[in-house]
Amino acid sequence: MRGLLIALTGFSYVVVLLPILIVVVTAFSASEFFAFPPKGFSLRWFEAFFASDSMRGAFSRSLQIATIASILATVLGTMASIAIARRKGTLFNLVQGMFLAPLIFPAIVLGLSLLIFYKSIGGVPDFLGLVIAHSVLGLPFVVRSVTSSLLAVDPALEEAGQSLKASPVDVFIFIIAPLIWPGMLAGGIFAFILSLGELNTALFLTGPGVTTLPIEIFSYLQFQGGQLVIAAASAIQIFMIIAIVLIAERLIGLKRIVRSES
Amino acid sequence: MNTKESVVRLSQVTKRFGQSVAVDQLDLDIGEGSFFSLLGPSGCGKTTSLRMIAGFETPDEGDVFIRGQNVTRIVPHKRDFAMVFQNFALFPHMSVAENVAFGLKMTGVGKAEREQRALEALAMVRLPQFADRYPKQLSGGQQQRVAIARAIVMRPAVLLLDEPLGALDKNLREEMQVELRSLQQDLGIATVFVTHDQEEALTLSDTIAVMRDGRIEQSGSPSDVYERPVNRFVATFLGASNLLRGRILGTGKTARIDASGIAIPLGDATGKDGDEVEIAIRPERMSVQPQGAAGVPAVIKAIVYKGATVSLYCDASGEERVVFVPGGHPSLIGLKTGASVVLNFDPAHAVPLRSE
Repeated sequence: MRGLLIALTGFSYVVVLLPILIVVVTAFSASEFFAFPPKGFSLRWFEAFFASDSMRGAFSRSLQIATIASILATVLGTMASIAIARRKGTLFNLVQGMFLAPLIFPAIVLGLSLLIFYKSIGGVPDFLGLVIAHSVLGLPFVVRSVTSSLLAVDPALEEAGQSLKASPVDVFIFIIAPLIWPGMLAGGIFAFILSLGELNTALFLTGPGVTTLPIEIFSYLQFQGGQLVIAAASAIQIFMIIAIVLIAERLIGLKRIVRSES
Repeated sequence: MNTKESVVRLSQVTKRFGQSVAVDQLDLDIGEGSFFSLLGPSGCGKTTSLRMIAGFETPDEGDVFIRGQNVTRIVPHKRDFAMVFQNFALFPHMSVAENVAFGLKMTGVGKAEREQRALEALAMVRLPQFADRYPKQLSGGQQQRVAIARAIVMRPAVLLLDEPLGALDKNLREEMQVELRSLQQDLGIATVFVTHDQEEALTLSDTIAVMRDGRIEQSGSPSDVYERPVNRFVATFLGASNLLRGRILGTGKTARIDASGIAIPLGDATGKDGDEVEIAIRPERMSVQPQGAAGVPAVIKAIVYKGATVSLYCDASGEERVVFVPGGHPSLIGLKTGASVVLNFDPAHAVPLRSE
């Protein structure tokens, strides 16, 4: 039984991680074409990646969008959670459902809807449009993790704060935020990573000159050779995500991010 | 209006939750320096009343005054009170000193002064050496003291205590009662104390208000309320009582007890000739006499030894009567379960009750 369990776990790891590992390893290949195991070691594909204006531009744009969208999602999601966590009743269940809806609906539907919506209100700059889309996608993760953090905070603490002359804003800054920040950070990091790799809504909302890295990789694959530049791009994304997760792990512990629980 | 003397005043305050009335046209007046207890069973509206003074609940009708100012529509953090919560509600991410200094920080007191005052407050509750600890590192009794220090450091007009001793075990609770009372008297701070524990209320209070169903049944000094309960609810909720039936005689100034024929003064209770009236006698006010003496004959059903007192559970022609006799009292000598005795009491200790 125990042996079977270990075998299954090992198999799952291989299925999940091996393809990623292959991409990362081939990114360091010295050869012109894809081959595994790679022949020689070089950083030429990383150089090629950063030498390409469109790749570099998309990369930095993706970072900007992910940063702004994850901050927006964290702020809005935390506010929503505070409204939801302390109240009961059909109305607030409905509100909670609305905030969690982007988890259930296909992102491609959201992309199309937002495209039509932006057009109907006379157009929105592509960058802003992407930020809004990614904020919406990140919201449910923030709401989930912050709500569960909030439920672990004794409501009497808020009243204790008020009894000690703290205004509602002071109560949040000095009492609530210090107790729920791991949940806020976990939700924010999730939203950031999600935005960085997001393809579905970006397909609808990117325009000429305003692409994100996943879109750039996608179109590069379709229209050009040089697969290994893509491998390098993927490797860079993977390294970034690993770095973020490691930092978060140091700060709050990985379990809380993965489970979105406190 | 005259609010000079009163620190907290509730005027005709009503609070409803859905269909049920939690507090029903309540009037309260808490004077300078007084220790005021709201005593009652759970659901009687005592906590809701306290929370309306704090502003955590808003009355549906009526007004709340603190030091003469109508605060009915004022948010909690702008009211002049401090509160000790049932489970202490200490901030887990702050040290003891930071917890105590928090209110001062919010009111803009400078760092040096608030540290100084926090230490003074901690000294008052005998915890100065714990300033740098965190709440989790303290015992229940120590957390309790920090919560009290955090409240009194604010020098509020009124101190609100929401069953603050409920979370402590019995011995610690009695110790804290004594401390709380002497601290409150030293500071001379008006205090509203919510409890369902009648002994606690008797020990601590200047004034006890016994509540039921959102109304005050009786209020007065502990001895008033205990010795002269106005109705059956107060007589049985606050301590134990033997309830006797009697009948009002002639002019309505006296009542005769059915079982013994003794006439007692009617006092505040009113009625006309022949009306039935209920009469309460505290168990410790009754005495046990040998058979043949004057009084009501009874049979001892059980003798419970409690150290300082001995409780005798007796049957007086079908009615249960309880008598508390001081331990070692001569009347106990030779008493056994099943013995026939006579119960008696001084008519001055019999309290006619208002019908409810």
